[in-house]
Amino acid sequence: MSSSSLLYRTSSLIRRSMISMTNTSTSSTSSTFITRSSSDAKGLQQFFEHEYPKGTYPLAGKKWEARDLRGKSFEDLHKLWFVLLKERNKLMSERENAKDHKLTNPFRLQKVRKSMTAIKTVLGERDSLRKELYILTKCADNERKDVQKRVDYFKNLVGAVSLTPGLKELEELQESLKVDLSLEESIDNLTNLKSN
Amino acid sequence: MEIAKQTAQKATKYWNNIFFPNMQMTVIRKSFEQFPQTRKLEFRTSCDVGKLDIKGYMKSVYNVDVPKVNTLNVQGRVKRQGTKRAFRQKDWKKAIITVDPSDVQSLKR
Repeated sequence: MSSSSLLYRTSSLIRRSMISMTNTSTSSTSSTFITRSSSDAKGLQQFFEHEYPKGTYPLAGKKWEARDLRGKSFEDLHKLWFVLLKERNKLMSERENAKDHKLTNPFRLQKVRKSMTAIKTVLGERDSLRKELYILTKCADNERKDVQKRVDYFKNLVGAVSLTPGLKELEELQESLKVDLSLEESIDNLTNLKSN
Repeated sequence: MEIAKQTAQKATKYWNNIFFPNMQMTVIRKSFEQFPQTRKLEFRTSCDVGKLDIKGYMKSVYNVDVPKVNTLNVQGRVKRQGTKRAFRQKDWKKAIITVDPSDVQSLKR
């Protein structure tokens, strides 16, 4: 998933169709769609949207829903979160600088907010499945049926996605968790020598 | 069974190990006009955000080095409707960042 196509669900599809439309109908229509990729901006430019010429307006696709995001991996969701975060900052500052504090398309902010909540709901489902699986191992035999029901419910929602993503990589990065192997070997040697 | 439930409830969410920042930074109205001369930008954030948070946020999300941050808390205004009814707007924090000369560029595209 590239970062430019992440933002809205149907943006790439619409973009393709719009490009074909604009090629056919040149300047006959007064209002035309204009899309520019957000990857052009660097640094602090990402807080500002490019200026639209008169008669044109920004394009916004559909919001991301939980059912769209359920199959995605943790890394994809993490990437999408930051895309949405930048977009929200940009829209808020655009609204601040706009005339009468009004956006031309105010629903864009709502879409961004709702897709951020969708990410959190998907992650929450995976989290609760993990917890229910832990309870299943510990519960008594007479209570196992109820727990199994909940586990099956969450299993259907979550599907085949790893429940502990990225944690191994984090542990590798964390220096406090690293064990000095040479030290351990030397200690083992010492104990061996003493026992001998 | 109850002990297992309690431990599961107390356990943090696994995705809290990886940070999902939810910080809002909005550029204050007309603050970007003097940016090329002064290298300063003003932002509006929530009051519970610190200077180090802002530095890390700008570096990790926007890839901008921020050597200096000044902050000040702003009390929410009291607005009045008619004679008696009054309500207070949210408190907020103003954050003024100064950027490295290498990061200065035209902000409007």
